[in-house]
Amino acid sequence: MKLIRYIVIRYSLYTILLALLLVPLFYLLVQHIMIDNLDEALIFEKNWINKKLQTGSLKDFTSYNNSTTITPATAQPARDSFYSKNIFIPDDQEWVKHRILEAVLHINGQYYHVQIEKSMLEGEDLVKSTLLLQLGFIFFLLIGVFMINRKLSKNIFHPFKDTLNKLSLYRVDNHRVPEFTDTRIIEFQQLNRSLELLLHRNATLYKAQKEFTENASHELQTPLAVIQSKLDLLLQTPVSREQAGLIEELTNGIRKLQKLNRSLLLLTKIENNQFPETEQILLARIIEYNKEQFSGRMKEKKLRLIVQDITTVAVKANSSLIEILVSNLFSNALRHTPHGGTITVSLFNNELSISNTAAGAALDPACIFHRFNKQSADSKSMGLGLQICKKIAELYDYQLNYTFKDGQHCFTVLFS
Amino acid sequence: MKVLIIEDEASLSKSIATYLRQESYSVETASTYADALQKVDQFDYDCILLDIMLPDGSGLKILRTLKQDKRIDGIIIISAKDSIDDKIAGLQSGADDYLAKPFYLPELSARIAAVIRRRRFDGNNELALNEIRVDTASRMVRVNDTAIDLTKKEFDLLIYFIVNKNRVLSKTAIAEHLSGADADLYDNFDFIYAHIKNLKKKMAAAGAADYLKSVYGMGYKFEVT
Repeated sequence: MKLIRYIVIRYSLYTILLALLLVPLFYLLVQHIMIDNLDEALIFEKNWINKKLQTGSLKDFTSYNNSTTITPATAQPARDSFYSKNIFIPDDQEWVKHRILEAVLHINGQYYHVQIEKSMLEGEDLVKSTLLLQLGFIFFLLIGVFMINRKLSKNIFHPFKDTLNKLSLYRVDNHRVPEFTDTRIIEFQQLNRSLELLLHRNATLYKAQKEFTENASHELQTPLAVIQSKLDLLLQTPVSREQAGLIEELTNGIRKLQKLNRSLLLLTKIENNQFPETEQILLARIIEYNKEQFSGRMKEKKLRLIVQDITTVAVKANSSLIEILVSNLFSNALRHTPHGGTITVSLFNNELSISNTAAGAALDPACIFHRFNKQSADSKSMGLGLQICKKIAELYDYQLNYTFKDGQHCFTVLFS
Repeated sequence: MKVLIIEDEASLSKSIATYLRQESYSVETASTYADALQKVDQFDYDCILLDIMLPDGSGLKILRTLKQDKRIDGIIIISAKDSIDDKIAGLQSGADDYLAKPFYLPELSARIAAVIRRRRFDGNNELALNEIRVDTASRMVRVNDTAIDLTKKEFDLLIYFIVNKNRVLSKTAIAEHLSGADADLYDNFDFIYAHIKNLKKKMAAAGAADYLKSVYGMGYKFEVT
């Protein structure tokens, strides 16, 4: 639940609860005051009648609206009684609530029964109006709260949402530390400042680490070249068969180091986004090229290559990277297919799939694309090829997946 | 044939010089930008090996100077930078070839020979060795005036051997020359053996002497006495 909604719901619930309690209470209170007032007026009138009757006879007394009836009485009740009663008014054809005072007056030795009626119509109207007003007030309060919620959500929470959005898109390897929108809310300001500091620190660390990889890789190439050149010269001197074997092994070691260096550099460069040029690339052409490139090796391993469903799929990307992506998947399949196995390549529905006969069980999909994750006993495999594929896929938002089905390893790239 | 090695790593420079001198190239070396610029200014070379990263300047600046002066020296960049982009940038600046470190000296030698052939012998790309004549432009091979039909790999192999004649070439170096970066995909280098066997057979059939010798466990040697 959104924070602002969370808060507003609580405020609204409180307002409604308060209204539910207070509106009837208020209604009763106003009604009570009104009846009190009426009763007072009735007593006042009774006293007035009392005074009038002391000075004049009953016959002289007139009531202009028939609301007062005075009849001679015999006994005196204990006290005045007030009550409310509905009385039908023939003129208006409706029942109107009246407040009635019944009293017995003792004037000049004579008892009179006095009944005074007063319409509560105006008072009732007042109470109703008050009730309506109150309901209206609550209605507008709730509308207001709702509107303020929307406005807050839009304006004040906008920078916060912006920050969240930028954070979710942030990647330490793309070099851009997001700039957060200015806000007047202190908490958000603090949040943004802390995030900026954190991200800058991370970016610096990341950059330093990558520069180290890059420099280390570069610096290694020259000593490797020196060693290789010395070995070449050594090979030209009279050497025994045993020494020759050692030289060959050293050479292989250097090749491996060189390949490792190249792969690390390539990874760094992909992460640095150093392949900005893009062009339209026909995938079928690259598959064809790889087919040719690896044909010698396939023949040697007696592999069967099935190329099916090659459709015209063009992607816009850096051609070197796409070539590396496809060729890495190819060579990966080639390397891990047992002698006499089959490699199946298809390009259909924007999806390139390369599968090969497996020598063993399924690989662990959780770590297959990680650096230096070697799941085969092949000493020539560096464990970087698939990571490079993954990085290239990530760069262009392609889906690179691994599945294991019917004894086949299958890698698919879904070009978006 | 004069070759200038512009390389700040003395040890590497020395190895290259030693290897090339055995090929009867006359070799000079320069280890700094200033030194290189001076040498380039004073002499013409058949081929210049250029390291891009020099302590006191960029090798690419030397390359641009040479191109501005419309010099015809062949230039091969030897660099620790080996990304495709670096290669393209180097070649676009006017270099004839680009070799990433580390490299095999026989490979370097083959590249130098190719550059010199392209630069110096316009219309005459012939490589001759006793009864063998190779036209590198039309990729024709003749033995005693009999044309022999070689596959692309066999042809590349022959050139590589002729350029590095009387040298022991390791199987790894040959494999890399033939298949480029994919060489490490191979479990073993039996495929080289197959190519060499075929090349030997075709050469012998045309009446060439048996130059190709297997050097126990190490590799092969194209022996010319």
